[in-house]
Amino acid sequence: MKVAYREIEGHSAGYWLAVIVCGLLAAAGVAAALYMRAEGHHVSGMNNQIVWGMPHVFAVFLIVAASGALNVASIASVFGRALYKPLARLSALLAVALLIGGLWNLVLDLGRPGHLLAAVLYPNFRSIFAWNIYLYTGFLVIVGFYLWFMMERRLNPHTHTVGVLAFLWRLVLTTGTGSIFGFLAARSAYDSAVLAPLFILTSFAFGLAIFVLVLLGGFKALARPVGARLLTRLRSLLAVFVAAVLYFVAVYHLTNLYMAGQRGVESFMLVTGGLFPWLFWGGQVFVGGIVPLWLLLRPVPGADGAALRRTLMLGAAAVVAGGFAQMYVLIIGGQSYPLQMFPGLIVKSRFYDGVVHTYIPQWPETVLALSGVAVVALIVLIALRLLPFLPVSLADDVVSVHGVHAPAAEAEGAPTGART
Amino acid sequence: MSDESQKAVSVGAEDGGPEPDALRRRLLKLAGAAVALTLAPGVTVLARDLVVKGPRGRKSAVRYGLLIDASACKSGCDACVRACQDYNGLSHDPGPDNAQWIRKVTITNPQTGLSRSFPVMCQHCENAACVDVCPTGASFRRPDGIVLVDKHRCIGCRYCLMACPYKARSFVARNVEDQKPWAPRGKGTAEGCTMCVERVEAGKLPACVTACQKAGHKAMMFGNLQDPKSAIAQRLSEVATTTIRADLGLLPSVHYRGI
Amino acid sequence: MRARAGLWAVLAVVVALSGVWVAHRGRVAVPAIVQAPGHCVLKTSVMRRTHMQLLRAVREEIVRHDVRDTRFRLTHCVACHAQRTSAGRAIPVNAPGQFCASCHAYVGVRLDCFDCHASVPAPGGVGTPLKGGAVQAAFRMPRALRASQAAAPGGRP
Repeated sequence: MKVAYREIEGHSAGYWLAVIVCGLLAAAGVAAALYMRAEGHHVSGMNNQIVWGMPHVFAVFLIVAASGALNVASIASVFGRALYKPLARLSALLAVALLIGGLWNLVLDLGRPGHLLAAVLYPNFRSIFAWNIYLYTGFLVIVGFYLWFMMERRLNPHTHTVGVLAFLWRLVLTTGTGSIFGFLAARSAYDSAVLAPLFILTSFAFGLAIFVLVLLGGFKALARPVGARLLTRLRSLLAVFVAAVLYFVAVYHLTNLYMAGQRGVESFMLVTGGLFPWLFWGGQVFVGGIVPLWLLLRPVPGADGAALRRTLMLGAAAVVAGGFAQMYVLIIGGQSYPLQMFPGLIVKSRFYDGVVHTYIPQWPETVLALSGVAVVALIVLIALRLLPFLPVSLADDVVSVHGVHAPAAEAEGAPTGART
Repeated sequence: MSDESQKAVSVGAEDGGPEPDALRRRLLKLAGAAVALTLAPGVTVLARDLVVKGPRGRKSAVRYGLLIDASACKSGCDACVRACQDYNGLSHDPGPDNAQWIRKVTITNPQTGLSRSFPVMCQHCENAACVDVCPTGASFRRPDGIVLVDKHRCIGCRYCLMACPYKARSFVARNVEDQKPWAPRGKGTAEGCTMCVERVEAGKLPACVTACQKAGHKAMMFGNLQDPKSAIAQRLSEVATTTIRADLGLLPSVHYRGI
Repeated sequence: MRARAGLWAVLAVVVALSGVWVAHRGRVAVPAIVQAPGHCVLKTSVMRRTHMQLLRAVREEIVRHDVRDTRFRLTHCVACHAQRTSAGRAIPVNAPGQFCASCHAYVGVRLDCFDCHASVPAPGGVGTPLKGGAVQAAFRMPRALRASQAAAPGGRP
């Protein structure tokens, strides 16, 4: 079975509107970053207590989602599931775009972005950040090759090899991202080895959710067909990932609850911490966990395509919304809880020791944070127009479930450049 | 100063330069380093450990440290904090954006009601978390144990602020003018207590220690922890002291008595 | 076709506007450098070209390796080259028209030392100006710098 791919035409008013809106938002993000650079970060809501704010919430979300978005391609080329092969190109494209969007936020928020070259000239390999610089750039290069191998017919036979490399690399990358927080012994909410596997599972869920939203949204706009078979598979896959995230979140909190010294931070996060318990129970657990599980596991009578699509879309959107709540609770909530400099004692000072820190995001860093998402969308919109990433059809008669194709047949025969 | 290379150069400089060869060699080395830094980043990365750490990376006979006696520190006195702010050109205003290289902390034991007040600053750890997490090595520990930020390399990522268990690092969030010549500080970089490195090198005490002595409390003692004959080392061997969050294994250079 | 014509039009406007801008901007004044008292650590011609290389190399020594007794210290530069008002107050070296700023404006190189460093000398003590010919003699031009000077013939005004 040959899968045909085609660029999108990109002449519609909707397409141009989306490009212009995303372009303007990206430009606004640059303006906000320049403003923060000129005035200093005091114009943002971030300060010496809440050190990392909105740009980092979005950046970590996007970077985590980036490695997860690659999973669909991995399932196809590493684990040989033919059903997912037509989706592999979009999966790799999204991975690259999401990572660039996340890095966009991180780099533009730096106090001295002009000194960034120092990270290359004098890397400190005891720093997870320094490792991440290599993990991120390496990821971009490897996925770039991966895409090339998938799209160039003569290189198709090597797709499996580079796919395996990309898969292993992304596991290390997400471990690195989780370890940014997991290795911080100073802060009670972090300092946990569970954060690395939790981040990997989280990336599976976020990445697939965003992939689903882009795929189904795109196919709807393009009026290309998606069959019930694929929808059913994606539904259960996303449900498994969401359940796995809930499991790791439960382990993380139960471990902390069992340790008497950690009960302070746990009661802050789960009960007394004002906004954060709301975001945790309402956002992360309910919207990001229970709602999608209910939507995705609910049987749909008669494999009704429209109902499958609707529940999958809603479930994915809930996962994304819950994901932002999760990142906010982890990053902002983790910093709001006072540092335990003297565990068990009451600490006071003129420098906010022993008090819960509040964070009120201001517009510069919020615009910057949103601009990272705009950059992701902009890259995807332009790439879909330039190269054939999207299959023409994902109807049941096109996608194959059990038949494992020969490697040479993978991602083959795109009528490249044949715009209709 | 125990560092021989430094001694050699300082002798030459004091005499008005009778060792032109030594100085020229030094300059050549520096110019060479500059060229290498500009032209061959790849090579520099590999050779970095040799060039930058070099023979100076060896274990030093000097490790500056402080001993703070919380039982002698007076609650309500902030002479050390004021002295630090005045000497280093910092603001007196404790806004959430503003730097606080040193602060007075009051701890109370809820079970016994005992209160203690004492200053907390950068603890100049041997295994400093800020040094470990810094991606560019801007956060670094000098051979004499003082932990500093090399602002020429700092990218302003604030990972050190996240990692420090003592809240000893601040981020400069505003344009800074009227810096003191001995305390460069600028927007977009991290900073913290320097142990008044310029004063220490000139054989003087850090500003906070001097202020504490002037205030008549003598709650702060400064000296070389590695020298068994120094007053601080002898005192540390006589009285029971501890370090803050000793459980983290960071081995701070700032010791506390009576907390 | 229409799109191409539009592009040309935009290009023409950009060129015209930049022409207007260049014409209005005029020429940057040739820096009027005031000779500082005493002697500099190296010949003026060498300092002019290599001061940043020296500062960059030396700052590594100063900041990271506690070598503070080098002559090439920014505080020394500022101590000598900051002018004073008639009332005796030091003028920042990065103020418009001053020693650092005038030259950097002329060659169009951003000057960011004083984002962090003090641009006026310390009230007393730290960073006193160097005096006497002995220093000059001690700092004969290093070979590496001589070579770089030979490679770039012709001095700037």
